[in-house]
Amino acid sequence: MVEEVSKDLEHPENGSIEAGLTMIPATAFFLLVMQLVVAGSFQLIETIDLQSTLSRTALFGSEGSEFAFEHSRIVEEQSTEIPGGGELLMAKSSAKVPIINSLAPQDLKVTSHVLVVRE
Amino acid sequence: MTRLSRWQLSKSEKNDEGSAVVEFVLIAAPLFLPALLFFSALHNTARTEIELSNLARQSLRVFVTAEDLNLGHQRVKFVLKQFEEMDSRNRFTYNITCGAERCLTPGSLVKMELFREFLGEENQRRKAVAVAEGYVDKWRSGS
Repeated sequence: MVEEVSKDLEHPENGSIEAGLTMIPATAFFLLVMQLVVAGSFQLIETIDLQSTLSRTALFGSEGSEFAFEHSRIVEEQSTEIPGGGELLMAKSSAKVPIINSLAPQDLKVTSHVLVVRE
Repeated sequence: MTRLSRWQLSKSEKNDEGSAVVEFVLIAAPLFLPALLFFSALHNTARTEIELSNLARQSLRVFVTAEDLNLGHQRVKFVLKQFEEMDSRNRFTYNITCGAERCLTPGSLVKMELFREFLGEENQRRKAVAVAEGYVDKWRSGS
């Protein structure tokens, strides 16, 4: 009788192939969540970096702004006069996000916009 | 081992068979959906905080460099309007507190609270707040 029971428990880790197949959508979904995290982080970095660059431009008047991610960033800069004096510098940028999941859109971009006062 | 326990073992073995969809939902729902919501909320909050604090600093700057109070408010409204045009989701209100009786007296402390209204979860109107403090230039010509 003991032998029969041990025979039943010989391969207790055996699972159905269906259970294994759940790893596919689970992994895809996990990567999509990670893609969102990466995109969000890139957007924050982009905003902070654009603020920093634009503030430098306003303070020190550097015309040729050096941007991080320059290879993949598009920046639209414009300025307007403020009533009573001074200038308002505005910049919009969009940068590509690294793709870690082939299910995500391949040309995923994040945009950010910043304004800074130049006296 | 009795006959009953053998029957129980074989029964539990049969119950292991499950649907892949159900198993996926059981894994994905409790693990990934809260993570998705959490990271989304974290990202939105951080972005709002960064944008709003920068805007409060810039608005304060245009206020303390104005010639008089009216022009100061006009300049602040101009800056906020320009930002609203860049991102139409925003709607701002602000509150300015001055340390001195006359707000733009040289050397006086000015505090700006900037409020941004936005639609939160379940379409509830929520407000984000940023505070910036600065001094009026001590060497400016008195106003």
